[in-house]
Amino acid sequence: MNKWEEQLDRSILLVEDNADDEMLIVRAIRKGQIANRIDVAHDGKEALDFLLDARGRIRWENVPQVVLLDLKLPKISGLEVLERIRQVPELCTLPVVVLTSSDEERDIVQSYNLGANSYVKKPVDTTEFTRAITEMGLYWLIINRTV
Amino acid sequence: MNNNKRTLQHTLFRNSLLLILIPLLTLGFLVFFFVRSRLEEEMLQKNAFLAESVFSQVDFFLREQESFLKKLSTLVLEGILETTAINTYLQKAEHSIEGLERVFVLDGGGTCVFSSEPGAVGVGNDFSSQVFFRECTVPLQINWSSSFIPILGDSPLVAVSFKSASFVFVGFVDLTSLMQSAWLSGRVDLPQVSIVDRYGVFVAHSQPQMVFQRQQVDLSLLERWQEHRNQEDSLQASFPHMDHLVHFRFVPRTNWSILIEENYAQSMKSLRDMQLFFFLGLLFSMGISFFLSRSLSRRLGKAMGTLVNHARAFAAGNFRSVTEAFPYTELEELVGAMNRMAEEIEERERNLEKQGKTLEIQNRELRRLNLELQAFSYSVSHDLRAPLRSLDGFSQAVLEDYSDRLDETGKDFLRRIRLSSKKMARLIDDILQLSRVSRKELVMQDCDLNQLSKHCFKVVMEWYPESKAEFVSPPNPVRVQGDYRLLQIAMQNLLANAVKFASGKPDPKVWFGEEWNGGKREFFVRDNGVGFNMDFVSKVFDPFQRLHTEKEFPGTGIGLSLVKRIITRHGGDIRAQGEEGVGATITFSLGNQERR
Repeated sequence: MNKWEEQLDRSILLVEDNADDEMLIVRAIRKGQIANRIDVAHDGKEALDFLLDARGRIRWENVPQVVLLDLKLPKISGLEVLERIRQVPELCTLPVVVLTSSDEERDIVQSYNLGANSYVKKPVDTTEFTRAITEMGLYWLIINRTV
Repeated sequence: MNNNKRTLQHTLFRNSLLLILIPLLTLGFLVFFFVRSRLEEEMLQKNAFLAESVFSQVDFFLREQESFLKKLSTLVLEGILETTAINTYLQKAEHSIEGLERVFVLDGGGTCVFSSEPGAVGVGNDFSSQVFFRECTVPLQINWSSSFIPILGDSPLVAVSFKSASFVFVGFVDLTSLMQSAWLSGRVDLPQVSIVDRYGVFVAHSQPQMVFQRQQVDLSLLERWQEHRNQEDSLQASFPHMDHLVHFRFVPRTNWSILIEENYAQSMKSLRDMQLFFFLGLLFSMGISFFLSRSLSRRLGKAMGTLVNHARAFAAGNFRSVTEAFPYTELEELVGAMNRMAEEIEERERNLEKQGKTLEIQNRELRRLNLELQAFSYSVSHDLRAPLRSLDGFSQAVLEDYSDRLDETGKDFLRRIRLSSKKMARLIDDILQLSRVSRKELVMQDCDLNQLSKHCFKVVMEWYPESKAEFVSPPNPVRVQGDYRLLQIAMQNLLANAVKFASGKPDPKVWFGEEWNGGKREFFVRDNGVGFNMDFVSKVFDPFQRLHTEKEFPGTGIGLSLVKRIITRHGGDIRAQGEEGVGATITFSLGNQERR
């Protein structure tokens, strides 16, 4: 049992460079009645800096309940962020959901190979989008909490 | 070079040698044998003739002596035994009769009663122990003794004795005079002539010392002669002995034998000379053929070496043409052919190179384009969708959060924005799928098209929940080789089209099946929907081409292009058939299905 597991009601880390998408995702999460704090990183570097300090130590206070990760990011790509997170032993069980526009087989396969827990394609239809986000959030936030 | 093969020079040399040697040898041997037999025949004839002539001379000589002795005996027996009278007769006779050296008359006891020697030397001597007396026992028979050398002389003699009444008349015959009278002595070109008595002692010889020394002839020769004589009772015979051809002639009067000895080697000298010339000629012709073949093979070898070098140069890609002069027209022709070949090859190589370069450039271009396309579609899948999401999302947000401030027209506008963005998203998805289908590597496996079609129909029916279409498919599995995922996409699109276009009918039906068309296995998807006008059949498979309005039947116009691309990638064909208001059939094949 570490500090992270003791602490309930932790945040959601959203890694998304598109401001519109950021707004829509946040809106979808709120529509799904999920009240967790949402931290937003706008590129890969920002996301990694948020989780780890300069010496590579974990910022436990920042470790979220779930990471929603876009793949196409400036500076450091989403796949690389995923790889770096999984390289930290304490974070290898941190749930990471890849949330991206691409349905390229290549991206899906690579994401799962690097240790993504789930892969969700951002649909254009907002109704669908909201439903997907809500289900995903419920699964990783609520189901995990009850275990 | 292969050592097992003969060289050109060797072959040429052998052939020319054979060409010269065989006729030369044949001719040579024929001539040799012919000439030899002729020479031998001539020799035999000549020797026989010589022997006969010697014989007649000898016989004459002996007869003279004998007849003289007989006459003397008649004189004596007529009673004129008077010394002076005999001497006178003898003196006369000695002049006329050659070789008669001395004459004695012996009485019955062997005592000399008369001698022709001067001073009657020897009268009163006892000759009874002498051979010429002892052997002379038969009256009136002439006896010839062996040769001997008298005590008082140096010349070999033979004695001839004749018994008449109680006297024995003896004559000493000088063999030198026999030799002189009979021939012949000393001529080198003639064969050697000799006479032997029955003991083989020479009584005459072309070399007189043989007689003086009382030499004996080779007894084995004599033996052979006697054997021969006994067998055939012949007077003359020839046979080879040592290096000689010996001819014998028997002299019955004295039991002598005349020998003609021909030196074989010497007589055949002309033949040997001929042989020598022949072999010299042979050597000469061998030499000539050797040099001829060597020079020929050198010329040919040089020419061929040049050609071989050129051929190697050709092989190495150096196509300079052969310009050297060659000694034979055949070679010139070969060179011409080689040059033409080189030119052709060079031309072809240049073309190939050009083509290769073009191909390489095209290939590089294609690869670049493919990479670009990949990057493009990746970008499309990410970036083109994001604005649509915003359009849809914010329109939705406005509808939800600000509906109280919008009238119905405003809400309708926002709904239209949402609809368009969704349509655009579907279009993007379809285009991406089309490009993905073209790029994807085929993974061939066993598929059951029948089962696949059933599965796809279920999926499609979920897309069109209000459709009441019925699906008809064969009972048995339809096994094919193909890429399962691509075939699934094709099937889904075909069935979706069928369901979509049949939806307006009261009893919509969709068929899937397989059929054989002229030995070709084909599959079809058929519907009893609206069909289409066959005038536009060529447009059915073009991307973004639609035969119906969006309002009638929604769609992007990509579906059948996608299907066609999948079928083409499997090596198959696809065609459409339709009639307006009756239905449409899409028929396709999947390439060579026997190949695995």
